Amino acid sequence: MMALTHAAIAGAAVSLVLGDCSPLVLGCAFAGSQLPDIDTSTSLVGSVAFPVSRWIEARYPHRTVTHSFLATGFIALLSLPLYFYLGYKPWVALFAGHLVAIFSDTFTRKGVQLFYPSPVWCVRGLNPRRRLITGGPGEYWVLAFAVGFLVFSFYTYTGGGLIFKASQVIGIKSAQERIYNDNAGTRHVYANIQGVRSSDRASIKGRFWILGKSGGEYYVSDGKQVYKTGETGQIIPSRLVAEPGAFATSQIYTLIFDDENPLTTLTELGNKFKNQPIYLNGSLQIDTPEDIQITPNPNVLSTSLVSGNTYQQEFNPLNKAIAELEGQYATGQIQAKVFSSKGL
Amino acid sequence: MSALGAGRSVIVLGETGLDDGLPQQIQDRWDGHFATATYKGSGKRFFQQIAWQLEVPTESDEGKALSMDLLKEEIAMNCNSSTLLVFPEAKRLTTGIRYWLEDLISNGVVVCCCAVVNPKRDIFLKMLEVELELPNDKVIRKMMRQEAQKLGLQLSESRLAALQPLVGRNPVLAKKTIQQEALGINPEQLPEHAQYLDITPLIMGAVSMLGVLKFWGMASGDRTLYVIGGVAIMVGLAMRYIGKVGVGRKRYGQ
Repeated sequence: MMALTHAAIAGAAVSLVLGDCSPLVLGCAFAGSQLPDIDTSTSLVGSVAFPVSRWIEARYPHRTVTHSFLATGFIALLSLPLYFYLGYKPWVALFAGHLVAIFSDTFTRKGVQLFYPSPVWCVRGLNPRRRLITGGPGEYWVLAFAVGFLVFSFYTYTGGGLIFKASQVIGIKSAQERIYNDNAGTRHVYANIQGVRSSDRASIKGRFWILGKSGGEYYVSDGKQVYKTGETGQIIPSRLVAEPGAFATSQIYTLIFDDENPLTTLTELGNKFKNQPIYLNGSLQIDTPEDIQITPNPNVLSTSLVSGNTYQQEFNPLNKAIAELEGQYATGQIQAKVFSSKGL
Repeated sequence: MSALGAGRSVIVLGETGLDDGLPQQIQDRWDGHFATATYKGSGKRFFQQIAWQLEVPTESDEGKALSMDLLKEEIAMNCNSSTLLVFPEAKRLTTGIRYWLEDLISNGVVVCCCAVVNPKRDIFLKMLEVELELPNDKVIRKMMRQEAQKLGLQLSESRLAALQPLVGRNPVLAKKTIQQEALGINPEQLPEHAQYLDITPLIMGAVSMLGVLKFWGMASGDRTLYVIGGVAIMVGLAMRYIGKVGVGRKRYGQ
């Protein structure tokens, strides 16, 4: 096979297996893929290392000693210092690049002596007419596929890894939960939702910021309103794909009120975390619930409710709570979730 | 050679071309009577060849050429345990010849046959089997160099190294490949040697091993791994069928 094809196949295979597309790992894989052809002075690497290639080609047929598992083991042994100085990935990439290259040569007409010094030529398929010719049209197809895989690998691993990408494509619920759990501590997490509104079954398709999770359902916001997913919520998703976004953190503060005006504490909290989204959860006992006027909207989550003397909040924005609790005296404790930045 | 010396008949197995010059080498090291012959369509000529080498009369006292049956008898009468008969093309030996050899072997005559594969019938079943080793790469390279010199062809070591995979370790192919090179026929297209190992099952096995992910996913409750493993199994199965896509092998008129 051509040097370029070897490099593309080795780069794609090694980066997919190691889950790393860094220049160092890819460079080692490319270098390893060229090493087998050091047994001929007409190859790229053979021209560079001419004395070595000249010596080998005068003694061994092409695709024998340097195209064997023995050579792979030898390279792994010789390159062991890479493991200690650069970590295991560059080291593995180097000899895996060699391994992939010799293995891919089994698809060509001549085959390779993988088990050298055993004189047997390993091939893929016994009919030589159905194997690749070096530099032939078939090889260019292989090169195209290999480059495609390399691009796929790069896209996959710069976007979170194969399992992560597959989870996103498939949209499995448990996988989305894992993505949320893995990322919510350090990043904003978004939900790309396709589904219907539970009130009138109007279709919904959009990107929402996930504020929190309860059971198997999510509290999401489109930047203006808050919604809950699921049968008991306002959005029934047919497909929900979680996607990590920018770096961000969130903190939970517990606020305790003992028959006091809650506005003081809530305003202090708002001033302390200016321009940071704050959402409140929990219930408070208030003295004049009849003063709170809440107009329910079936299309959005009722983030606050009054039932008897109880004022209940579910991801209630701080500003809304301050407006509703004006002139009230409250008893009880609530949690305030403070995000370091706005998600939407 | 030690088996022959011990009076045991032997069938020597090896690729075509490996036994070139073998009868001469055996003759050089054999102390008793020696004859070698290749059946080429005429039984009478075949037996005459043997008779001449064993110095057995091929004519009657009246000067008439002996018939094939009489030649057989005459040769059989003049053979003993010090007689070695070598047949380079064992597969050409007719039923009649083989039955005649059966009697000779029972009388202690040592027979050495050469073949690519053991026919595994009558006399061959009683013979010791000896497999010829393939010459090493160095010998093959030397043969290729010599053939190139003979044809006045200047071939670099790089070109010889590139051509050698087409030869395998077969001396006949070594010469043939150089001859093709001299004629400008690119022999790289279709290697002819038979020293191949089809690693398709290894590849299929490796792909199928990815199916382990499915069970891993099942055990750990990771549905993504479960799906990826399932897909890998199906890809493996698909590759198995794709690998069976056939092309017309026979040519028009074949």
